[in-house]
Formats: sequence, C-alpha cells, structure tokens
Amino acid sequence: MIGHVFNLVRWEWFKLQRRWMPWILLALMVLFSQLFIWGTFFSYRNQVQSGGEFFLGAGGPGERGVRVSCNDLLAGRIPDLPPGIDPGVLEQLRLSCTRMTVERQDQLREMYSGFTLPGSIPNALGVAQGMGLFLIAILAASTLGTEFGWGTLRAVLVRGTGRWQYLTAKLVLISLLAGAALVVVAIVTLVSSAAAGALASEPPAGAPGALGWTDAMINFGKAWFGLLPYLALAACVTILTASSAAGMAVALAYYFAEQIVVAIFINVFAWFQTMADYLLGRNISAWMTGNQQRTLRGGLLTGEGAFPGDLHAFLVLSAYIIVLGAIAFRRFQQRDISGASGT
Amino acid sequence: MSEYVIETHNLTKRYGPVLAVDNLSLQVPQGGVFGLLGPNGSGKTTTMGMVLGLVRPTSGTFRLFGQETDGDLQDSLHRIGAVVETPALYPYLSGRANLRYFQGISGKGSPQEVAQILEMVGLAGRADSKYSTYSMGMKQRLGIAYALTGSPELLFLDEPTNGLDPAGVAEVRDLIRTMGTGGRTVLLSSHLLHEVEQVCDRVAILSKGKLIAQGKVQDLLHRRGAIRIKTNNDARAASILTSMPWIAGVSDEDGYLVASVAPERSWEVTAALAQQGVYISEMTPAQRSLEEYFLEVTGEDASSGPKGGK
Repeated sequence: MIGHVFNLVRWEWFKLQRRWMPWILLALMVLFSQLFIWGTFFSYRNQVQSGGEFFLGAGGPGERGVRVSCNDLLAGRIPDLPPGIDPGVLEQLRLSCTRMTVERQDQLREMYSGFTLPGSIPNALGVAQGMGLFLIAILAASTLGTEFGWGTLRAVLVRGTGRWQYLTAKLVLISLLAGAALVVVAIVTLVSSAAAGALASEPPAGAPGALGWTDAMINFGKAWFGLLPYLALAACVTILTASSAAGMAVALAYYFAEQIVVAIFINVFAWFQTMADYLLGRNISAWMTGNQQRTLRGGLLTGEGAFPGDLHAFLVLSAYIIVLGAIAFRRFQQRDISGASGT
Repeated sequence: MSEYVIETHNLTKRYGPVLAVDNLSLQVPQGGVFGLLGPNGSGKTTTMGMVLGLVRPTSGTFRLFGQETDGDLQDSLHRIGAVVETPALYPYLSGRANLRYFQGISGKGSPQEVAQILEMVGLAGRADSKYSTYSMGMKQRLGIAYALTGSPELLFLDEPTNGLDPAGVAEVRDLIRTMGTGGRTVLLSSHLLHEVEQVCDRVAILSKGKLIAQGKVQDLLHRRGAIRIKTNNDARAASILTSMPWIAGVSDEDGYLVASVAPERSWEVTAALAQQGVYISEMTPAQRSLEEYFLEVTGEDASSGPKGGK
C-alpha cells in the first residue's frame, strides 16, 4: 500500500512539473528571500560607507539642505553648511557620531551576520517561510481544486487509484515540494551570501553574529513544519468546497483576518490573549520567531501580547494539521464525484 | 468466472427528493457491446458512477466480475477502463503524457502500448500536442484511448460519439464494435437509439431511474404477431389480407406490407394470396426499430428528458 502511494507521488510529480505554477511560486520564494539578503547587504554597505548620516537645513521652501555623513565628520571633512546653520552644530554631530559608532557595532554585526554565512540561511528561510504560507496555500488549493474543476478526478479514481491513497500522495508531494523549495532557497542563499560576503568590506569588529549552522538546520525544520498547517487549511477548504478559488481565498483571507482580529481584540479584551494563543497564524509566528525576536514580532504583528512558547506552538500546529487533515480525508473519502466539479 | 461482469441488485441512488436510480437490477454478460439506453436524466451516468465507485449507492448491492465489492472496488477497477460523462483529461499535458500518467498511476502499460493505442484511435499525429488544443472529436478519441490503456476487460463509454462529425461517429462505432470482441465487454451508455441499435448486442433501457427492459437487441426488436411481406401486387394483396377475419390489420411500411398475424400462420397467408393469383417474393417476421420499441415501453422520446441530469 505504501508502495502504491509512493508510485502515485511519483506520477503526481510527473504531472505537476509540467505546470508553470510551481516554478513561478518557487521563483517568488527565492526572489523574496534574496531581496532580503541583498537588501540587508546594501543597507550594511551604506552604513559602513557613511557611518550614519544627518540631514541639515531645508527648513523652509527654497532653502538648500546638506547630507552630512559621520565618516566625513570624524575624518575632519567639513561640509559647506547651508546659510543660517550654526557651525557649532557640527561639534554636537561629531559627538553623536562618536557615540553611534560604538553603539552601531552590534547593529552592524547583526546586519553582517544577516547576509553572510551561516546566519544568512536562517534569515532567508524565515523570509521564505513567511512568503511560503501564501504560496503553499495557492499550490495546495490549485493542485487539489483543479482536479474537481477539470473533472479529472473521475478519470483518476476510476483507475482504481483509491481515494485516501490519492489524497495522501497529493499532500505528501506538496509537503516534499515545500521542503525542496526551502532547500533551493538555502542553496541560492549559500551562493548569494558567499558573493555578498566577498563584496562586503571587512567584517565588523567584535564577536560574530548570534546565528550559526545549527540555527540554520533548526530553522530549516521549523520553516518546513510551519508551512504544513496552511497546507492542511487550504487542502481542507478546497476539498469541502471542491473549488481552488475557495481554497486559496479562505486560506489567504484567514491569514489577514487573524492578524487584524488579534491586533484589535487583544488590546481590548484581556481574556482574548488566551484564545489568541490557540490561533493558527499566531502559533506559526511563535514557532518561527524564536525567543530573541518574540517581542519585536509580537509588537508588530499581533499587538503587545507575548507569543506562546515553542512547545505550545508545536502542539497547537500539530493539532491543526491533524484536525484539518482528518476533515479533508473524511470528506474526500465520502463525497460523490459526479458532475464536472464532483459535487 | 461469473457469466456476468456486472450484476446489480436493487441498486438505488437518491439525491434529496430526486430518485435518480430506482431499484435497478441489471445483468451485463461477459463479452460484446452492452447498451445502456435512456433519455438524459434517466440514471445511466449515475448507474455507471455507482458501479465505478464515484457515487455512493443509497441502497442495493452490485458485483463486478462475479465478486462482491463490499465497498472495496480497487482490484476490480484495475480491470476496467471508463470514460464517464465528457472525457476530462489534463489540459496542460499532451495526449501522450496524459496516457502515460494514467498508465503510471494504475501501474500497468508501457510507452509502446500508448503509441499503439494512439495509432488505433487516429491520434498518432497529434500525440504530442496539448490536450487543451484538441477539438471535441479528438478529445473523445483520446478519452477512448485513455479507457483502453492497461488492456481493460470491461470498458465503460458514456456517450462516446458526442461532438463527433458523421465520419468520426462511424469510425468510433466501428472501434467500439472491435473493442467488444475477444472476450472484452463494452458498456455503452447512450441516448442515441440508432447508435445502440447499430453497435450493441444487448441493451438495457432505463427511464426515470427504472429498468424498463433488458435483453438481446434482436429479441427486443422482434415484433410479436406480425409478418412483413413483399408481393408482385401489393395493392391487391392488401385488399385480400384485409378481408380475412384472422388477420387483425394490414399496413404499408417502407414499401412492405405488414400483416398483424402470428408468424406461425404465414403458410396460410401464402396460400390465401396464391389462390387469388398474388405471389410473395419476400416474407420475414416483422421487426420494429429500437425507437418504436423504446416509445412503446417508455412512452417517451429517447432524446427528451431533463438535460444534464445525474
């Protein structure tokens, strides 16, 4: 039976590789992860080259302003100041620059670690995972829903394929493709990080970045597992509705609706914090962000509340996968496949 | 091995208040072409869907290849090829890739078999074109090719000549007749009476979900109690036969006289006409067309009925 499922996985891949969609989704995932890497690189380079910048003047219409970099100030290169600017301000800026140079070292080390190996891998995987939630929902809804829409499900099932075997093969393939996409992202990041590292100047002084190869491996596993609940959600809705569009729409709408609802309610009702700790998106964020980024992401995405812990997130996400998967399998096993959409 | 490849017993499917198939007990013997005839909405496709495991029966049982299915059809389905409703294959795959895929998931067949089947259905020249670029007729042919992959013992074809031009219809009918030889059984669902009459050995007639009649086509068409004759003087023969009290009626059908009399008494007809100087050149038991028979048993036109019914 397992052999039959693996045979189906193989032939599902035979089909899927001939569609444009998975390749486009992969390209988007790689593109966004690399935008993050190279964005960090250019931001770092700008910081290193300028040492930080100030803008003086242009207080009124028609007034000229001037950009003053810390590196110029500290090197004694005094810019021409716009009229009306007290030259004494430069001394204050020089003092600020001296203080910033010390404080900035940590930030620069963090940035440098973000686009060079091995720290770039977990960063890129984190971005790919965030983007991947949408992409896997689209892929799952499309690969399952088109079978209803095209009427090909009939053609598949009357070959003696077996319903649960077929659905299992589809879901296994999409899960494997999600993992493969993350591997591709990691490999591209490996190459691009090496290039970015070579293009960057000397690494900032001090201890290297906090993220290492172990983090890269852990983040790979976390990123992959973090994609599966959205795969289960999109698959479940698609099978219940026999529609790709509904599967995509509900999964994507849920993502945004949860963010908005949590952001509003968690600040209004204290009790909502407990409920929010069992919502899908919040647990994915908790699962992915890890301890060091929890406060920042919590503040940005879901209000002020702290995220649940890793174990809590793992259990909640596992429960979502199992429940949504069970609903999908049960409905798929029982539904009549008649008419063009199998409804 | 059972005599029947399909046996249904009181098979019923209800969609809410609509009874799509009503206590259907059908026997499809092995070998030949078996027609499932009925107007749109008569339950043909639903019946096929239940036997193929696509639709769950509300009640009743069925056997495939003599085996009780008990809800597990997988082994039996490996011996079946089927096109239910319109042929639906993957639009972004070529005809060849579609067939390779379906071979692959059933674990049977080879690229050579695909090439042979494509040749057989006349699609070898367009085998590598995408399915989405095919005309309706080509899709029908590829649907038949899909059903043939894996050398099935039983073929289900649902309205296989839909969308074909007259030449294509003739080709596909020849193909179906060929497919029904060598021990293979073809179950042909159609609302086209002349198609069933031309192609099928046996037929089951469905109307409003019920089985109205089933049997050999020739037996069903045989009109009991009538003979068809041709004479050297049909007008006089009609006059003579009409005057005989033991002949219930005489009519002219397509240039022949049809007399309502038991075929066993045909010698008396011959003698009576000969005594009056009228001589018979041709005499056969009268047959009706399938259309006439269909109208007789169902009281409706085969092409009528709700469109797109289950």
